[in-house]
Amino acid sequence: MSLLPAPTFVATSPVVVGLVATVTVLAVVGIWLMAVYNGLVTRRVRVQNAFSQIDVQLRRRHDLVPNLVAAVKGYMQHERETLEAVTAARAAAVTAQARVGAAPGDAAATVALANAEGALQATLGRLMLVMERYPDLKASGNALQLQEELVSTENRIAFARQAYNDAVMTYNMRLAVFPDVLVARRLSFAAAALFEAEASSRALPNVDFSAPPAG
Amino acid sequence: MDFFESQERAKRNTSRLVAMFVVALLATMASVHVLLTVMFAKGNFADMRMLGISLGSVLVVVVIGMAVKFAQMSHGGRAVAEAMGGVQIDPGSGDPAERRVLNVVEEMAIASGVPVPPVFLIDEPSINAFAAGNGEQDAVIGVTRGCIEQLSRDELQGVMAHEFSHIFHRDTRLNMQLVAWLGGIFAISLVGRIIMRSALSAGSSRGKNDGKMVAIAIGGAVFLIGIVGYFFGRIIQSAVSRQREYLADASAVQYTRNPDGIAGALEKIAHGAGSRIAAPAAAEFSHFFFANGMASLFSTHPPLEERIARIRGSRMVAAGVGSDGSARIASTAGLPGETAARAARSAPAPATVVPPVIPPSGVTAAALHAARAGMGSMDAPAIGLAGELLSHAPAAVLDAARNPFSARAVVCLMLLSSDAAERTRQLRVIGTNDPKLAEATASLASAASVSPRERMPLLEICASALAMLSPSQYAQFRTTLAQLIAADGQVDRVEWTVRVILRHAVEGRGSAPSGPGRATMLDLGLVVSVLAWSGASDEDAALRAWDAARETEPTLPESPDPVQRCTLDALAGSLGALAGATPALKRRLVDACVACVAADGQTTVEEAELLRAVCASIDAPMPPIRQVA
Repeated sequence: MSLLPAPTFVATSPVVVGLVATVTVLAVVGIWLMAVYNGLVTRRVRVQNAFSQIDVQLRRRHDLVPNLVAAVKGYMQHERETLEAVTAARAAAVTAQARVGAAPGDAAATVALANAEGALQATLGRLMLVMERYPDLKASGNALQLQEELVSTENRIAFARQAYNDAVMTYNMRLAVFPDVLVARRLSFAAAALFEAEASSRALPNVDFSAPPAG
Repeated sequence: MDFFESQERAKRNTSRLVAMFVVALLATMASVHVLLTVMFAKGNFADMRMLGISLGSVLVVVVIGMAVKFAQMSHGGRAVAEAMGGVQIDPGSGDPAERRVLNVVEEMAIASGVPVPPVFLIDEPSINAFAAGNGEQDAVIGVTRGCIEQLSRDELQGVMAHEFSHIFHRDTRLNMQLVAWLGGIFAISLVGRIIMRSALSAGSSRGKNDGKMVAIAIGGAVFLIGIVGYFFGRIIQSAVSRQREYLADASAVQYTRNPDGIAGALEKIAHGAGSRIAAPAAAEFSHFFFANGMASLFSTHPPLEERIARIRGSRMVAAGVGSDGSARIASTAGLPGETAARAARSAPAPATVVPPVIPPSGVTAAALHAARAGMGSMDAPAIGLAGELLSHAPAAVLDAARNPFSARAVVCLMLLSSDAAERTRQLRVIGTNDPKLAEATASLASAASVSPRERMPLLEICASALAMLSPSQYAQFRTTLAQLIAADGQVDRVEWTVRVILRHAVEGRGSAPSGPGRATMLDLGLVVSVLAWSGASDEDAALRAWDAARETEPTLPESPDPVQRCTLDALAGSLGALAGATPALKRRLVDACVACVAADGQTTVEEAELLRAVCASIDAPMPPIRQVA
């Protein structure tokens, strides 16, 4: 090796050292960006996973409602309006759910679904209240069982919603803090919407009675 | 081969992996050095500073890449499933195809005594599946849509048995480590791609082409170096993975006693359905899959025809021919002799006999030892029994156990006293924390009850649903549970069991067990002490049980820890430390525990359950204890 020409300053010239250093720094930054990106993706998937828990229970509620309506119809001739309101609210909720299914993670669709479900829950609440007035219904095991199942489903929805909102909060927090916010903005990570009915829709079910009842 | 031996072998495999990694790293460094020297030092390879620069830069990139991946993998199997875009199937799903795969997984988990792993669905039409996780507690199973829709139940069972074998043999853990190690090497080519891409996109608007060309050249050079690393990485990936697949195939046949199931699944893949995974993350995780996830020069799996031929060749064992056939499975599958011995041990029992379940009176020592011998595996009768148990369990409870909200009520139901007044008091304790939970528990209690034989299986199912709670929800539930357990001023065996299982299966989920080296002989002594005290009617009996444990494990101190020291928290702390212990220490613990519990010859069902809970929490699953006729 000693026979080789001595000058090796080319290799250690500031240019080369600078170049290698730059590449290394770029590499570190690149890997770090990857890690941040992975973290964001993971949390977004978690939000979706948490949403699917609500989705399953909503579907169950949508399946139960027509059965309940059918079971009580015979007893409640004078409550056509209430029953139609329930049916219409369910149809609206089913449509809203399909829209979220088509565009998972879409904030506007999620809010719309939360509102539709809020309305359905309110009309169902009214139906349950009205049912109290019909002693005959208490004798019908079927209606009572359906009612019990609906209440249990409602509890599960509330619980799944809480878990979902926790996941959304964690994800949205990550989107907002430095340094994640830089990556999130550039790669257009959108904030997820909480699953909460807006106050207006929760107060009064907004149902169009002229619409033909869907089932 | 004993469960713990196979774990030790997995550890040895890890060291082999590290050695191969070092070779790959050196090769990459050498190529960087050659490249830099040719480019900048006129071919003078003796330039020490140049050498320093190339080694240093490669090391920095690799170390950071590895750190990132190790952090990701420490979140357990869930992280892998999420990286591939998997969505967890709701444990209570009513969809027929989803229900079927969930049932198959539940049955196998119960038959082997592990918490039911969450099942993730990847929306691909091909047939493939994977298992990921550092141990049983953070394990997940992934399936493609094609897998759950196109396979018959038997075929699905074969595929799932294959995946469970990967979990038991710690192949999943090895796979997780492989991702992390390779992450370092793959990071180099990734960096090259990033530099090239940003040079191409950012430079176009500006007029300066010189800088752009240099950047592209550098990016290209780094990418080329990365390719070298990638090449070595893929060789490691396939070398580590291929042999494990034969073992998992053979285990699947052994567990289900049905070679047609798994062979049929492989044939469906070979004849049209394919096993391709399109998700971009699939390459990184290709060694996790049931069959090749991608077309590649470096196949992570042996050829399908070869696998099918080896499975079909093992048909005789499955029919229960005996030790001759068992020897054949080993030779055809190219497995070491230990596996043959294990297969021979499990082969003689004819597949049709379903052993009776434990009678309420108690468990014989023989049954305990049989369960000990079957650790980290399952057998066809146990799977059948689990299926039967699930189909006969009260529907209301089973449905509730599969939902995060009501699974809490099922756990509370197990802790309710049979005494009516006490029960009301307990419900009030729950109600002060969580009125809705008290309501759900009360309504469940009025509809159904949990028989002792259903307790462990249900708990394993509940654990899967409870893992879906958000951290704040789980924290609230844990507080409620702690108050419920403390309500009567004493901790009975069922309460111990529930607490130990949940602490392990829910709180431990999503993270790897704590590092090795923390467990001491004191921890071992405490766990055995708890078992000795909890199984004894008086102090003499406890001391006798302790002496029996000492005969097996002479390093235990002369007397057990005093009963006051045996608290839930102390036990949980010791079990947590032992979860990260070496397989050898775990084996000594398990053997000491079995000896302790079996000592007085009158093991109750509750004692046996606590023993199983202890084993489960150190990631050494013990199958259900059955009386052998």
